[in-house]
Amino acid sequence: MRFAEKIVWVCLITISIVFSLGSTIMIVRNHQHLLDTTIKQNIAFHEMSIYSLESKVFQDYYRRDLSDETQIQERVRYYIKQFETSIKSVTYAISNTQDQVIYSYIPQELQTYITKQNDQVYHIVNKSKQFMIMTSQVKIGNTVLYLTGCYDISPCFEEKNRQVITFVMIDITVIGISYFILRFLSRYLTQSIEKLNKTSQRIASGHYGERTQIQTQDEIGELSQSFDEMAHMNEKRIEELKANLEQREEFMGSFSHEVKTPMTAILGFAEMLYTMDCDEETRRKAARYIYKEGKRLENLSYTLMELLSLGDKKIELKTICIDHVIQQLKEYYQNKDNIIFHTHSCQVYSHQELLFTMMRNLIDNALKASLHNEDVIIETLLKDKHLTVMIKDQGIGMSEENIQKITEPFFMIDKSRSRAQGGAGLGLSIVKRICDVHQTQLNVESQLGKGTIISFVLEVQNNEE
Amino acid sequence: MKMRILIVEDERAIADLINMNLTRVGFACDWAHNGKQGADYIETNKYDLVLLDIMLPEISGYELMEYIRPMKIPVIFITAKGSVKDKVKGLRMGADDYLVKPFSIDELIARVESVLRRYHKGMQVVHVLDIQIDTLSRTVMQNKKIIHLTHKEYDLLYYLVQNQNIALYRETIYEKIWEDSEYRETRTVDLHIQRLRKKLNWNEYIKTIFKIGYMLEVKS
Repeated sequence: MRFAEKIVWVCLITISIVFSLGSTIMIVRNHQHLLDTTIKQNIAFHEMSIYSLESKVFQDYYRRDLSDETQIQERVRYYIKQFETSIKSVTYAISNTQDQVIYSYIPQELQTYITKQNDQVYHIVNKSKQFMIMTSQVKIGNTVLYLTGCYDISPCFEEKNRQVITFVMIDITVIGISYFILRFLSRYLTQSIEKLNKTSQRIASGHYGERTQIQTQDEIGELSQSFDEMAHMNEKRIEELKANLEQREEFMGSFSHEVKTPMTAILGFAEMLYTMDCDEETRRKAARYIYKEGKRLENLSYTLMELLSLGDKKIELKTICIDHVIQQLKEYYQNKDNIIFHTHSCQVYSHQELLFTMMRNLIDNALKASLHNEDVIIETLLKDKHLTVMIKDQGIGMSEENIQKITEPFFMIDKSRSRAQGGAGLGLSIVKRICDVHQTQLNVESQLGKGTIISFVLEVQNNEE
Repeated sequence: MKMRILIVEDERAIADLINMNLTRVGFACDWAHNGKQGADYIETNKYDLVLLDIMLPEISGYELMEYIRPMKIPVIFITAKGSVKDKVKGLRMGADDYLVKPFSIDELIARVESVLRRYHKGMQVVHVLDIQIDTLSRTVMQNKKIIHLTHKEYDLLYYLVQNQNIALYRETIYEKIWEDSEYRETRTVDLHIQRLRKKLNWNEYIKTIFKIGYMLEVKS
């Protein structure tokens, strides 16, 4: 059963129980009250009738001098008939002290209730009608008679039945109306749950971008918000994994190409040398290729090791003096006279070996781009606790689209030239990894034919100028 | 007339390796070092086969393949990508064969010849000196008579023909024909060479090279 339906039925059952209980109590109390009133009225009426009968017969008794008991009975009968004709809901019976019924208009089956016991109230159900029977003593002179009145109290019960029927009708109507209102309301209330459900199903079927976007202020709203957050995190994670996988696949593809190409050459030329007696020229050529391609493999393995070692371990940064790194670089490039250093001396938050590797790679690239030994300038800029390190060259520069790709592993703008200079296309991948460790970014500005400026920012610690 | 083969390969070492070996076996080769140059060569010259590297700068091998396909020139892809997915993609695009790096020279030659045979019926018969070798039925005809050779004798003869005018080491011959690098039974090679010389009456053509092995000399 749907949740909305459950709400509807629970409410309906509650409403009908409470409503029926209330109505029943009301009907019962109403009926009781009405019955009591009717009985009291009838008693009063009966007493009045006795009194009026006694006084009327008594007057006659004196005026006409009714000495005979039969004559008195005759008068009584006469007056009672008068009463009966004036009020329709009452019938009377008269009996004497010997329990003999002298006169009776009471229906045959109620005759047994005629007694001479005084002031007795009976409530009898007869067929579909209800009667109240009451007997009182009538005294006229020495004559004692008993008057039994039979009052029809059916309207009292008819009223109750009418109320019950009305109640049932109202009950049905109320439940019917409630059902439709509840249905509408519960639909409205549960539509966000429905939406949540649909969204999660869509996410499960692969539409990771789906969101519930329910903005209500209740628990469902909160749940939806948490759900959306979760979906967002999941989507991000899945995308990350996908990107990661793609990157890895691309890396493996490039890597296998980079390894298999020199391997093919080495194996092929070695096979040639081994299988047949080649002439001098071919032999030298083959040997040269084997050496060159072997060198390339060696280079690749070193660079790759460097890159991989950066990926594995957690690198801790500490405060170092940038002067040491500059000194190290100056020693490394002592044979090059076209490198100019304009640097500040300060303490930066970094790692000596990594900073050296990074700057060495960048300077190597700058040198490779400077085909005619143009100057390469290393400059630093100190501003607000940040040190910007710039490597400027006036070399061949890069196009806009190539700048986007330079940090991809094995990417080379000019393959044959890079090869000739012993590159494998991994230098800037290493630089990027080191930048990630420093939580800084590599900024590249370049113009074809004019040169390139590569810069990165380091955090300055306890600056002493 | 020699078959012409175009090599589209950006790696000079690989291109040279293929070039040297295919030339040795008797093909004429041209080398294009990128896709653009490859397209230019195909437009100006007539080629019997294209050896195409997939990972080329600028225009990739797949793109060049689209350009070559309408010309009905057979293509063999050369690539480092050896996965089934890549192979299927290459073959679906209309390549005739697929050569995965690193490949051996023998494999290269065998695949080139097999593709050419499929396209040019003439390739199935090789004429050398006074004999004709039918590579499909593996029969040898001399003066319109069939010369009966054993399997190994045929393989040896075909290997010598393929590597004509090149001095071959005894050990290598054994390895290639008997496909066994453990025991170098060079005596077996000597014996089979003698049998071939006798059956074909090729004493003067199959030469013994001192300290090395044998060579089939074909003077043009």
